[in-house]
Amino acid sequence: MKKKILICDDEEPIRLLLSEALKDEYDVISCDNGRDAIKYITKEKIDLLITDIKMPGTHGLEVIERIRERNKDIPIIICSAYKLLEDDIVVKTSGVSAFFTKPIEIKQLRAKIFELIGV
Amino acid sequence: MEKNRLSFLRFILILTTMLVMTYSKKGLHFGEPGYMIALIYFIISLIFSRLPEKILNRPWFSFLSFLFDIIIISLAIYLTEGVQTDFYLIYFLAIFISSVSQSVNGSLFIAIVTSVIYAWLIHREYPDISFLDSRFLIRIPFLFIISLVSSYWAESTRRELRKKEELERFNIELKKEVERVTAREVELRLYNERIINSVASGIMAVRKDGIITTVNPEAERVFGYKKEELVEYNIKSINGIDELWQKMEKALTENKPIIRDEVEILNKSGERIPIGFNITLFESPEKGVSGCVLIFKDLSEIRRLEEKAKQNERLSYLGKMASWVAHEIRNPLTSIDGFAQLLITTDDREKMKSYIEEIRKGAHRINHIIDDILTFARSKKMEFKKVNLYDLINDILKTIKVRFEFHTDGIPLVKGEEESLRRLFVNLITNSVEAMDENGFLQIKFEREDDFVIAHVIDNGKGIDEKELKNIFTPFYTTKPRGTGLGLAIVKKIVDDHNGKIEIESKLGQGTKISVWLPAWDKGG
Repeated sequence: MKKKILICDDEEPIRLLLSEALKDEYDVISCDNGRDAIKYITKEKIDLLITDIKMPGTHGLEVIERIRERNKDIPIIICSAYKLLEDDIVVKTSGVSAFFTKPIEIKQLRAKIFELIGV
Repeated sequence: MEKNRLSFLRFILILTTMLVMTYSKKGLHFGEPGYMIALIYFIISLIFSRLPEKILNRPWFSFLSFLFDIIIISLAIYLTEGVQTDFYLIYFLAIFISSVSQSVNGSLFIAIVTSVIYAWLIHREYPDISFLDSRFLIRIPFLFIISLVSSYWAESTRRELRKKEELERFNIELKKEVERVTAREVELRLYNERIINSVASGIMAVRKDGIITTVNPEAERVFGYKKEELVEYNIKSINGIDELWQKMEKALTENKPIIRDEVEILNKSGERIPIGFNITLFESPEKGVSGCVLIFKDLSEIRRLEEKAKQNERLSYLGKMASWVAHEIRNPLTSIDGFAQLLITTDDREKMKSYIEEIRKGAHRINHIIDDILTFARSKKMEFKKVNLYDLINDILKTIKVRFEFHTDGIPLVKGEEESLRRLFVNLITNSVEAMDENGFLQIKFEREDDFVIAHVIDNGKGIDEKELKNIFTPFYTTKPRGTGLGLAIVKKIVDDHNGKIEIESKLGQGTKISVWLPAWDKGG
């Protein structure tokens, strides 16, 4: 059975891109806001979360904090347009596995995911 | 009567009495009763003269002392020669002195007492004398005449003196009053001067003919001239403040004060100084408008701070813009770059086609962002033409799927640039449509207000909360998932470029009403 990845990004083209890039090896589901991401993680078994940070409504960092309250182990990868966020205290203390600044090198992202959850 | 003068007159009386006694037939010999009386008279008079003025001036004391004189004189007559001599003449002197120092009544009473005593003395010496004898008929009435005449004279003199004294007192009071009023006036003038001098605004009073009458230290500082170089000079002769005088002249000619105006002046050193001022007219009921008062503020510091604030705002915009560009460009860039990476790794034509499609979408999105930035940043001069807002909005609504209705009384013709106005209403209508659900209903209302046409865009969408409403026109501010944060900032800019106005009313859960004022094509109705 394929491992399941959740993509959370308010930009539709980004969701589409990541799905296209990962759908052969993984089962990919996506949502465009933080609230839905929390709902998915609570309800389903998700193996990895790829999330944007700056999204309308619930902020990405808040999403990470709330997910950590429910699931301590799920690997989280941040894909953000803001490089500065890499140094954010929440990013550092919430056990974020990787930080990618947009635009993303697909190969590197795939490699990181493989390293974290395998195929 | 004055103590010294009275004592002096009394001593004349004593001396005369003693002189008459000495040169009488009997003469004045030591040890004799006459001598004793003269001595007692002298000593008692001396004691009287040493008494305080307060007692001497008492009417009863004065009366008693003259009674005492009359008794002594009568005793002297009795002890010396009797009534056949001229001794009685001293009575006249005594009555005269008493009249001078007493009231008419007191003096008359003394005259009565003297007449009685003198009559008794005559009668004692000549028991058979007739009352028709010249000693009675002439001497006694004379005593009264002297008493009346001298007391009348003394009274009128006293009255004159009192009048003079009163006049002098009045003069002194008047002088004091004048001094007090002068001092008060000086004090008031200084007080007013201090107020004018302590005011932080510049104050300058100018007569109708342009002569400067008052300036305060702040005015001296701003103009750069000393008070002596301004006061009494004609304002027209002061370089650099001509425009100010023009404004004053206007206020004086039109008889209308000027409230909150601004001009730039040149100070003595040639520096340009912006000043904000009020001109009030200086008028009195008698002379009418005789000049004006200029009250002004040096705006240099305010302008400097405004410039600094603008600079800070520009920097803050720049920062926000940089951050906005990073986010907005990087997202479509990620999709372009990402799909390009995927394109390389696939041979599937269908996939290739869809990837290229996504790459193009990303490119379009970047182009749209650049368009927004350019529209927001441009400051080109617009060419205004006649635009029918009804047709323009109707065109826009044909391309958008939404239920709507128009309300208009006439044809809403405005003066504007069609493309900009199209952009304005596309942004507003798109926002409204995005805020509404499937029950959304849009109303477009046109209204005329003076020289403006008001276009209301009313939706029944989710509304905007108060905090967001405050920032609604702030560039790079967005709450929408796909918003660039420039849509309403562009709307505001277009409205400003048309010298119009925009207002927004919104209630959460009920909808939003945006009203845009644009200049009517036929200004003035």
